[in-house]
Amino acid sequence: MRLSILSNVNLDMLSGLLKKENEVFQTDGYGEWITYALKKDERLAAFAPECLFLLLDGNALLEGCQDMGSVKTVLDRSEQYIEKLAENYSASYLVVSTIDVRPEHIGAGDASDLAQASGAYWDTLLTGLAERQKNIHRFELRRLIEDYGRKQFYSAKFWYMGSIPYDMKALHLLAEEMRHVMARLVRVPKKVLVLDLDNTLWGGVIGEDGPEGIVLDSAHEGAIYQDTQKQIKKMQQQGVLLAIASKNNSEDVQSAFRENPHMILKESDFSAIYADWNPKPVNIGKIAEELNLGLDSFVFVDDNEAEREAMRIQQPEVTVVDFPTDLTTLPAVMAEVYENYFFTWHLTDEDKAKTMQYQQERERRKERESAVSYEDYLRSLQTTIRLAPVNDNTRERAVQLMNKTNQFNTCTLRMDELALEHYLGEEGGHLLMAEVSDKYGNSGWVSEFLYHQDGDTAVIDNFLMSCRVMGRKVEDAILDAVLKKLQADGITRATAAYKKTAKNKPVEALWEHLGFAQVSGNEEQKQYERKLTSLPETEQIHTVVWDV
Amino acid sequence: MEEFLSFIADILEVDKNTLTLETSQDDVETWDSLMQLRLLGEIEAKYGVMIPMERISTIRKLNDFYQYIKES
Repeated sequence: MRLSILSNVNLDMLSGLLKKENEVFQTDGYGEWITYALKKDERLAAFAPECLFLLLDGNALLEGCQDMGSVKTVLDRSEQYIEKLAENYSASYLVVSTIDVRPEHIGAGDASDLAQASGAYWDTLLTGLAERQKNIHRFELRRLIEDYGRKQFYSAKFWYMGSIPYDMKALHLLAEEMRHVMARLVRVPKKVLVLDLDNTLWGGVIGEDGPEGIVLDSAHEGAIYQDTQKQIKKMQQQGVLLAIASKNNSEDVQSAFRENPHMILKESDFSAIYADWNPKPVNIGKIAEELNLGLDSFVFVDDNEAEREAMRIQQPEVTVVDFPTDLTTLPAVMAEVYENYFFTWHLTDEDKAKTMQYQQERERRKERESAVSYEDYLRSLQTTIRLAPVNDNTRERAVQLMNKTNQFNTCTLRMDELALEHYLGEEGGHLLMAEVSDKYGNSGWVSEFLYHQDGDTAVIDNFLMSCRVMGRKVEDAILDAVLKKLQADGITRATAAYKKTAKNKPVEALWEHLGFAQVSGNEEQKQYERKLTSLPETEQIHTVVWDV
Repeated sequence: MEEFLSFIADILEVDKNTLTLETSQDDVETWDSLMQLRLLGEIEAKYGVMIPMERISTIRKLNDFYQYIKES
């Protein structure tokens, strides 16, 4: 990655530690971060850092402050500088640190309180900054220092010799944390956590020990498993989908969840439960099919090395977690699993509601099995599609969706917030968002239609939809409504394209299916067009409403 | 000593074979004043020794560092 480090103390040594795997721009002097913030530096701008770290030493920053009033003055001013910095380098991820203040370096008398209050006050300013400026992210410097211990983290020797506040080992830790942050910024998060049960979510074997006999409690060894379940529950609340792959009788598994009073996770927390005697690599394949997600978004946890090995060999796309040899670290390992594979910087409402939506999907499937024809089934869902141009409230979701949708994505056009702004502004593009709801619930904003006008032609730049609503003829309804609107606007022709990727096979024949004719192309990409002069009156299964 | 030299070579980002205990600050381009501090910090951390602040300016050659390890 291309990165640069700004600070109010001398952290040049960090650049040295990071430059083996990264391209590092060395800023001039230290404590110059304010200059860089207020005035766009031409050399730094030309370097175009992907990631700009601002690591603030709380003690140096609040030097001389005696009370909360003076602390606030300094921190409020720093907040304004950072606002400027984020504007000047809006194309970079700006990673800003929390601050640690050592009581002996601040105030008098109630120094401990003041030190703590300063850190907390900065936290609230940082939260506000991250909400206002989407490119700002938080760096947990204070937590790093607290976890390691202040006495070891700070170095008097380095401070007096080189104005470097931190010890050599601490600098290595900092560099390591920075590598983690950078990896998280560019990584595509996983979606599903598949769990074993016996000796993973509880101690012992449910089939032999029974629902009361398994090891699960709020104290001693049972608490290891209960804390592990608590970590997993937290992940589920953050939008991670949970599934079970266990070799057990399904009645035994049911009794464990229903009868053991110490159970934190409930059956309803899981989007899929496979408790039978089939090989786990087979079952995980079924889960992927059921949830309509690729196996590369799956993470698998099992205490049994033979099961892990089978998974690695037969489903190599699945990420297999190393199970700890020291069982007491299991809850911490789960916390790490979240940080390493699932963590996302900005949670949208759609993320939080995911499990519920997949459960609704299960209900829909039941209905499908009992309906007479597929169309009847779709009609029985009473689906409403709301179409609206993207606005400030949906922009974040729009960017998220277009960057993570792989299967139903005709041209796989990826854009960040800035590129989207450019597309909607200078390029004259339009982005329509579609929200889908039915009698089982609201699936949220799940589809996007991007086009621009060229004379009397509408050029469809991309059409994408979340796999959550695939297979329900939602695309037919959206396209029908959009084309009618374009026709009413005086457009006589629409063009579209399919660009092949490793994953978008499901839409290979979409345009033909939607009444477009191929005009040119090859295996890799195809161009289509359709005249809009006369659109057939087709009977619509779904209701479409415009929200303009 | 071999292990010490390869540890140092890694930090200075040079080929280990170019280093001996007689190698001095003037021989290695990456060995500037910041690197001087880093070497001190890395050696203290790895070998659990303490190199007093007032001695840092007298260290010119790798051997000057090495003496602290030998003494410990």
